[in-house]
Amino acid sequence: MGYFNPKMYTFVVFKSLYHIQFFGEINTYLMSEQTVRDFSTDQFIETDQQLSRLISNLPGFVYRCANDANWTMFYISDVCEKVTGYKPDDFLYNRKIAFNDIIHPAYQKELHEDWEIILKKNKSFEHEYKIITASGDERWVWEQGFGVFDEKGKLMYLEGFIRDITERKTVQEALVVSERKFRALFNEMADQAVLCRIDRNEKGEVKNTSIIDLNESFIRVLGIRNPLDIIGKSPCDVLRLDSIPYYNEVMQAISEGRNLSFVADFEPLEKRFKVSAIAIQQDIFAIIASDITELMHYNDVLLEKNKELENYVYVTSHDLRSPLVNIQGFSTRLRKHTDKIGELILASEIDQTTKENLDELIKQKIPHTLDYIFNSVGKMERMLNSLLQISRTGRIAMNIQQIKMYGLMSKVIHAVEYQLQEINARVDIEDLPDCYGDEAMLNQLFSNIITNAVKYRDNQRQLKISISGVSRYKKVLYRIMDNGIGIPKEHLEKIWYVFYRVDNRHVPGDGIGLSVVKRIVEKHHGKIWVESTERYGTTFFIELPALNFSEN
Amino acid sequence: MSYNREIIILIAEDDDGHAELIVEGLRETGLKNQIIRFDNGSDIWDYLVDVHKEGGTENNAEYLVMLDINMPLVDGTEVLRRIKNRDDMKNIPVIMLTTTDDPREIEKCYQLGCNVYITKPVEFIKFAETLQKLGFFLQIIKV
Repeated sequence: MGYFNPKMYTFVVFKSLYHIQFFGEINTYLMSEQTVRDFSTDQFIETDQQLSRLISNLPGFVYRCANDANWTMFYISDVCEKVTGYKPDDFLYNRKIAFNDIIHPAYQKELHEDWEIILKKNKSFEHEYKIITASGDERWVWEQGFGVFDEKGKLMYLEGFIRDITERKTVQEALVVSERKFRALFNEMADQAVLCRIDRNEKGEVKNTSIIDLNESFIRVLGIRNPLDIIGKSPCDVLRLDSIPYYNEVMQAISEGRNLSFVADFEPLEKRFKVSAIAIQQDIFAIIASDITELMHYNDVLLEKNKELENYVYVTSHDLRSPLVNIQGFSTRLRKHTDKIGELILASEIDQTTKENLDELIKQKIPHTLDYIFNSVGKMERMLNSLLQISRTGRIAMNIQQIKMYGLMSKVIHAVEYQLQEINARVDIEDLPDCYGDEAMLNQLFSNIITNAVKYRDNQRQLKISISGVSRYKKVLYRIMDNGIGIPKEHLEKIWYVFYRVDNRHVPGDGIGLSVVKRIVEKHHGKIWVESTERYGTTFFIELPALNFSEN
Repeated sequence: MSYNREIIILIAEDDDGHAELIVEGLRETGLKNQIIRFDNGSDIWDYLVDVHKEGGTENNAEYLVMLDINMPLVDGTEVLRRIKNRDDMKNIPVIMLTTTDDPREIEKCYQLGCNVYITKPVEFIKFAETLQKLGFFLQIIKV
């Protein structure tokens, strides 16, 4: 304290504290001017100690300095070390360093100019600037000060308070960056976005909603001339609608802090939007709308084409069966007639050589020919039936409900239990999450996969099938893993094709099992994929909806 | 006296081959009934309307109708619907004969009141068996 006599400066320091009293955190230390005047000289002695404690407890440091180029310090409190890294003695009379030198060069001129104006107008100085600490770090400080004049109005010195605001500044800067990012995204996004607030009455019921912000895309799509006029208005007025689709549902969801997505037509623009209401904070939410008109159009076209194709497959396979009935029917008759001819020849009086020749025709050549016809007809019929089955999978209306998957899987396994026991297979089913779908279809889906695992097992080892599942945001992923012969890499993509069979010599089948599986998964808006290593086994992954959905 | 003879079997089938195979198949089961074949739905309906003039049927004959579903002019399900909607015809047994085993199609035919629904099998032996059962059925419904 060598250069500082507390008694001498007490009043001054108090006065400066009074000036900065608006600065929240130090309010507890403040005294009114009246209080300061009430101090008697006796009390001053006692107050000195309190005062130095008070000063050292401030969240910053106080100073008294000259109005010169160096801001030559006459007094600077201890806390300055915490903020600047220099001891108070280092600054006093510029002993080690001038205060001006620790001010970031970018602010030095500015501060001098500012002070000049302030002193002329006899106002208090306030500034935020950067300093460079003893360790070379940059820190943000906030300063408030004023000039102290003598009775003749001559400036004696400057005094004030400086505190470290680096933390606040960092947060503030992050906030600015974040706000800038948000603005950029908000305004540049292709989707239409508005921020809304829910206004409530005294009972807490929703009174109305008002728009608090809107983005460029929203302005453009709706052709809004004066965006500022929109702020504070209700979305109803802005959209020129009597009622907003899903309004109550959105209010409900936002009140519960949930998000909500839906598809809605906006008639004034003849457009269809996918709308998401996103809860941001209590009663504040964002509405983001994506124009899916074109997408829906293509979707409709695709659905229509798909239906057409399915119908085409159906009609074709149906119509192709008709001539097949005749080929089979009349070939059967041909066989009967041939048999009759055989009997007639036996009874006739034809010479032996001719009889033998005819016999060869009737007993061998014709039956051989007919066998080919029957086999081909049979094969063709099986294929047509398969096609009919696939087209039926696509055409049939679904009965969507919650599926207790463990139960369903047990049923599927139970249906092939005899076969599994016969080959001594082991099936492990983990606890499975439930999903939504058509029970009969899903039964068929998993049956086909399990049947394949059995068909394509490796005879050299015990067949092991393990079935597990996990919940994934709005979806459930099931995994069926076997240790069978696996699928060669080059066949992996083709296994979903109709009539495609990796090896049709050893394993019976019509080659539609996985096509049907794929159709069923698609009908459920799900996904299916396969991983397989030849000789080691195959794993099917099936993703199905965890929530209720509608067929289209 | 055999009851069989009193029933006239009407077959509407646009495919000549199918018609021939059906008739042949029925004959092979020993059925001696008169069989009249039409190659579209319109003609069989006109015939039915004609024989059901002025109350009862001509010659007091009983009929059994076999209908293919996909036919030109008037299809099988439409003929079925018309028959079951007329008081003087609704008791005529109707057998639907088609190549499809689409459950919805079958369901629709039963809803319209068809008595038997037969999928024309490609395998003729099965078909013959079905027709044989049908012949048996024809005798039963008369008794």
